[in-house]
Amino acid sequence: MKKTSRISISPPSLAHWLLIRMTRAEEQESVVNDFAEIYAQIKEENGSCQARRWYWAQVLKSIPMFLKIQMSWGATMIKNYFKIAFRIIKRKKVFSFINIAGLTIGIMCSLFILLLIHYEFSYDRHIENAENIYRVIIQWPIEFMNMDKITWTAAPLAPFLKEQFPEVEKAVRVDDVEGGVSLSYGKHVFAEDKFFFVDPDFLTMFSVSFTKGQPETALNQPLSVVISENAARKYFSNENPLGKNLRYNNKFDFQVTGIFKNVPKNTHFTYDFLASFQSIYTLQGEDAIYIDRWNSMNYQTYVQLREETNPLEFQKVIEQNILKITPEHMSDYHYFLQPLTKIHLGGFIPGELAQNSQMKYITIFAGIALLIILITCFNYINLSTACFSVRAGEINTRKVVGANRKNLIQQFMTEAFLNTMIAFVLSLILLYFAMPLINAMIGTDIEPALLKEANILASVLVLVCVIGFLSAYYPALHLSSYRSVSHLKSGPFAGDKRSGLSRNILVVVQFVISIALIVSAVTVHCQVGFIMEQNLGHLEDPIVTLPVVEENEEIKGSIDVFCNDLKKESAIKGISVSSWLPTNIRSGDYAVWDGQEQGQRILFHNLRADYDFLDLYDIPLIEGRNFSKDFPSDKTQAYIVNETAVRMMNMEEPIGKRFGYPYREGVIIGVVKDFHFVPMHQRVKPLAIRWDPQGMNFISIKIDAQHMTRAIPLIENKWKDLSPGFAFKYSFIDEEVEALYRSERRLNRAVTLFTYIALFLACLGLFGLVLFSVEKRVKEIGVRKVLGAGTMDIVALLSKDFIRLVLLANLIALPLAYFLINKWLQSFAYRVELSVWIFILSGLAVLVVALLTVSFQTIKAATANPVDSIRYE
Amino acid sequence: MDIITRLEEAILIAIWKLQDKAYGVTINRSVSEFLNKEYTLGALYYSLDQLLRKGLVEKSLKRTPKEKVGRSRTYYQLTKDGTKALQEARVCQNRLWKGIADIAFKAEESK
Repeated sequence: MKKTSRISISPPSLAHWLLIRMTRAEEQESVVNDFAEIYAQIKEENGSCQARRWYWAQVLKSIPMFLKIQMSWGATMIKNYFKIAFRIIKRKKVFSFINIAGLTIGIMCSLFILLLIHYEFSYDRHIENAENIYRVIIQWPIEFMNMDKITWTAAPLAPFLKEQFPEVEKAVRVDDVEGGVSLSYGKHVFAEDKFFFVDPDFLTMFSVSFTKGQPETALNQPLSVVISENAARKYFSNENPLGKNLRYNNKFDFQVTGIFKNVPKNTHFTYDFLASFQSIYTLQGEDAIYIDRWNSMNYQTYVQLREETNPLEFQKVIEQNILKITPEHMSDYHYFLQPLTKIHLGGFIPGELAQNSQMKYITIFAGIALLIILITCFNYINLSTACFSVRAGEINTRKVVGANRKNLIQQFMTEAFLNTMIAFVLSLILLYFAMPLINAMIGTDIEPALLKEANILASVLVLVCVIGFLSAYYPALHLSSYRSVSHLKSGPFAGDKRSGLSRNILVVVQFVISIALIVSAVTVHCQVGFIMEQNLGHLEDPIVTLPVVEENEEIKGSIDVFCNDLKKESAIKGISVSSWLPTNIRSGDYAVWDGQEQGQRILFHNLRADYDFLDLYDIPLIEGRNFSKDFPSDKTQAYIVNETAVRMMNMEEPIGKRFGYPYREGVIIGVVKDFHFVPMHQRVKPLAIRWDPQGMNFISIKIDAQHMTRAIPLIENKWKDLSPGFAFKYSFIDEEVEALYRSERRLNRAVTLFTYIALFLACLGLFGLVLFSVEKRVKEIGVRKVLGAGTMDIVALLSKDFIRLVLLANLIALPLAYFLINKWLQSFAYRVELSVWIFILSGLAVLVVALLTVSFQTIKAATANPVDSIRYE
Repeated sequence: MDIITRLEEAILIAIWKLQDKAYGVTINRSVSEFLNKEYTLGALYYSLDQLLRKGLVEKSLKRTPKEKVGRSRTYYQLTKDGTKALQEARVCQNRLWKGIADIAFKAEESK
């Protein structure tokens, strides 16, 4: 009975709850009481039923009004928060500068990395059916389980796939020209390396957009070529290129049948010239019969599958069916379909048409971005919690006049967001203008215009909000949690112990990151240096390489004249011709040898070179002798193999053993030390060098370093004398090597740059902290000085804590860095040895930088006149 | 000074008339009588909030242990500015109606 009466007295509970939700805390009680009073009155007069109805109606009708009140107060508060935030930025100039500068740099770096990642992922996405296009990769078990992949496939594969399988919508072949081609139109002669032979379907498959000509028929005839707008301008300037002839290697005339828009740079290979695949048969003449053999694998095959096809299942179908037509020795080949969009980040596969990157590097970049964001946030957290002691007065005043915890949190959040927003705008502007500089430093190619893209801006804005939230969250919670009473009791520094500890932890983490990054940067640098050195040895004199195209009979026919004439010049130290450059050998064959076991097959990389090749490149012989003019049979029988080859063949005494390809049997006359003719991610493969004047594709010329400027024109003149119809093109061998390791070098530069930035940010934070600590202890320092403490004592006193933190960071960071960097090094078959010095020196370097940062403030404090600091109490 | 609305004017007058008994319920009752229209408490609070921000009224929290329901109420008082605003409203009112005699309306009505 009692219970029911109580329930009926009180207003409807749901409406009551709603009312409480809608009203501001400070008015809640009286508002609720006002409602309850009228409710009670109506209930007494007209019964509880009507009263309840009235209560509900009142509450519901009042909601908009209450909301209006709330919003107008909220707006006022936010205005106030901003006002205070701006005032604090203005009043604490140094801190605000450190805060905003740190945030700006941090956001800028992560923004840049975001763009970089976006760019790397954008490869080939512009192609219409990108997700249905695949590249065929062949994987086969060469000697003992060592699996190897190539992108080269046989020419008949594409027609086979297209004819046999309904799942295949299109299948095209692409062939590149080793060493490039020489093209001419009238007086214009240029060397081109973006020249490819493709099947007609390539144009639709890769969404080549034509500006002139008919894409359907452009590549149907042999000796027809479509060219990019750039190429059109280069050769034909203002003329209409359609129907004109481009002379190919001074021998064949290709008719221009179309012009296409320049290919975006973010394509896994870019092309300026696309010639019809049929042309190859014309070019090869008598040798054309070899093109369609299953065992001459020289061509890339791309397939476009129908929408609903499952590539993994189709892969198996290919493998089962292809056995029927391929030669027996190819029965253990496995066929894989690599998605087009994964090619760029798929890592290097032999046969690749252009250099590409690896997913791993993207992960590393993303990791660095994350670390920099962390450091940035930690800086902000550290500085704002340190700032607390100075702002205790303000916070207490706010509390005394009625601010609750929510208000304080909102206040600090507003400050953090204001700071990050200012930093965000600054970083956008800075990055926009600094982009070319950063691109040049790292070796990337990112358009500043990407910054204007809406989805990028949106994701960056999210990022900035996360940064703002992360940096504001802890300080806001922390600063608002103090009870004013404790401050009133024991002065402004009470309760600072806890925040001191967490600050220390953050400083340690920051320096752990910095040290680990430095160790990584140094190691990456060493490894890249190691790669260059391993590839080239210590070349004192530069080597210039000239590619010689197949059809250049003028040079080929008079190669002896060319070499001998140049050898007479004092500026030229040596000259050699070979089928490949020693940095990148890309052909191979199966060999037979004495003592070969039944069924043992080894693919030997294949190099044809002359007498001077080994000397020119300083490749040392371990056993036996070099090719020599004294042994005429060297031209037809001799082989020089490398150490790996000897090891794989299990030969005890290789010299004089029978060895050779089925079409050229011979003996081993020498063994050379292993050198890296495949990228260093892979182990050195077996190699066989033979003397063979046929198929010499490269001339290497060693130049006296002092006569560089004289030598190049000399060579060029000689070239022009002998073969005026061919473009003269040269490159330095070290550039070739650098190009091979472009993504490593890019990583090297990026890691170095971001490491400096991370260290700078960490020091910036440390600087701010010391500034605070000195400011706080200024009286103490004064008193100590009055009592006789020397400058060094004070400096030691103030620096001690911070240096201890950095030392601790060293202890944590070094093992961590060792672990991480070791993992990266594992991706190389050949790696630099991790020296203990890298670790010791990196640790020391950070310590010194930290010491310098700290001492800047501490010395200033220690040398100040104590009168100034203790005069006022 | 801003011109105050009719509702605000009514509230100010109610507070002035109620003296130290001016709180939500009583003000609401007076205002509804003056203007011959039922106002929700929410509307009243909103206007009171506006007046508070304009500095025309001030409030004080008083505990009333005698009351059956609830323990505290917010009482409102006019500030100096509030009194001034009321006077001004009255002067304004007079100025508006000056020269228009009651007769004129009656004549209109009789037509």
